[in-house]
Amino acid sequence: MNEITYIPTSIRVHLGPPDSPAKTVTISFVDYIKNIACSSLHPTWCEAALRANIIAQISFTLNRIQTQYYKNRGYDFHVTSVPEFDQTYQPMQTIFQNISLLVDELFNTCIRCKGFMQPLLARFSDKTEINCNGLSRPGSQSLASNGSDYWDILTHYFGDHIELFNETHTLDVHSFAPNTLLQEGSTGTNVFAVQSMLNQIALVYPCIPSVQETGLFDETTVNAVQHFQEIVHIMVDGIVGKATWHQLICVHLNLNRITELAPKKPPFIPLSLHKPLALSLGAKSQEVYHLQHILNSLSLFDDFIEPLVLDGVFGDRTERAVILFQEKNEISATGILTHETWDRLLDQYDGIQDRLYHCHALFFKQNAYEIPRSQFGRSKFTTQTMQYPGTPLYLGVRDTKGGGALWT
Amino acid sequence: MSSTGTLVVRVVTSLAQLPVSDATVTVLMRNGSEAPRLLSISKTDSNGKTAPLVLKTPDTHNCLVPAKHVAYALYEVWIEHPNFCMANIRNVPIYSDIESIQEVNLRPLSRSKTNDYCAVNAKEIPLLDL
Repeated sequence: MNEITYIPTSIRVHLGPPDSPAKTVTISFVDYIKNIACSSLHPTWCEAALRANIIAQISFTLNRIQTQYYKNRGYDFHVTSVPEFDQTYQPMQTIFQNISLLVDELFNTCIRCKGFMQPLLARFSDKTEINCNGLSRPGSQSLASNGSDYWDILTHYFGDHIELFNETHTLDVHSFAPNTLLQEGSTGTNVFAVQSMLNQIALVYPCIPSVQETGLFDETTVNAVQHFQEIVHIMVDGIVGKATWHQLICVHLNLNRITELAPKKPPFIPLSLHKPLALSLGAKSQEVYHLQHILNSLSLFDDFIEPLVLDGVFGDRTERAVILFQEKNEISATGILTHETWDRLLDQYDGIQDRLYHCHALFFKQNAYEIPRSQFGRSKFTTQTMQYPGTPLYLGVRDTKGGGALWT
Repeated sequence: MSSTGTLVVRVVTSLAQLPVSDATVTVLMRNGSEAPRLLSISKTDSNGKTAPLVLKTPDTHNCLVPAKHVAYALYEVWIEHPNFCMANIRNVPIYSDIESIQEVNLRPLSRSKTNDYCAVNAKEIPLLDL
């Protein structure tokens, strides 16, 4: 077991009891904490009660993650969304700004028992009495309104043998947060990273001004940071502290998921011309590759499957993805690609095309990416996936497999 | 203690949370079986956000011990854009002096469909039972 404690960038939440066939979502750690806090606390409560509850919720969550509680039992997520097992997570929960700011301040703080490395698995109680097992939410509010501060409340419910602990602020092995605040006048590789991330994010948020990537935190960088902070609803101060850094990483990572969907080979031939029917488990072809690409792209807008590996092999995971798509669209979930399934796939894919490839165009123009010469001899660079030029169609023309038109 | 709170709606699409600008955001209040009252119609800016909207809340007493009558008001929000499925969210809670931020993730429509043919993505926020 990993002895080094850390704050993860993201967390996988199963939207139901562990064995239920519910979907699992991946969200940023800070957004998860904001959600569970707002799902269970009234924002008008005393700040001391809010602090105590939030710290306890963070501790519980970090315990689940760092002990790999569910992974050790064979599940592929960190926590569930139900209070019987973990903490209440509501996908559409309204976020309250004061709780959000508190979480920004506290998200790397937890409690643990003295002498132990792991965060405390802080339990909660629904009872309203002040004396009960676990932290009572209404009880904590009572104590706070009578003058207790957050530490009094925590020791009241969890005992005197707990201590407060600020987690080493490493997000995960891919992104190490800076130890000091980055602000006007700061220099170094971290500043460079901030500027680079801001410029990429600015491609989809036009109100963020672009900055020169010099590694010096100048006035334009302050301005850009302020615009970014305003967009993601965190404190607008132009300073990159841990909350701003975390948001930058998460927003940037999410944007990259779109660019990852860019086909590495020349983009696909038109599916509207021939829909390969009866693709099913065991197939291995270019069409399966296109199918996997479409499913991944659709999931980017609807999060119903894990990203598939684009290997052109119709294996178990691809079949499962097709079944999930069919279930979602209320067609018979056989895992076989019928005419109707293809219609729906292409129809929905059509709907996201513009947005998907607008992003591609933005990012690829930025990175001077060149799409290789198309198999149809079109121009070398295009911001669209290369569309099939089409064959003229008139009365009497018939399709053939392979794309050529047959004249009667 | 005032008796208003504010609401900001942020409209995005996809897991990358790309902003949706020029989405129409309508805020209503429903009172039981009465007809809903239209309170505001606004459009999202280039960041996908509406301007903060001031909404009424009941008079509140701060820091009450197990208060069954914690003061919040519930509103309903509709979000529409020609290129996306409509969304409807009920029971958006607004507390006195607190800014509520409601994020909505819209699913794009295919070119052949209009809003009439797409099921509305309706959600109801469960109420706190405290």
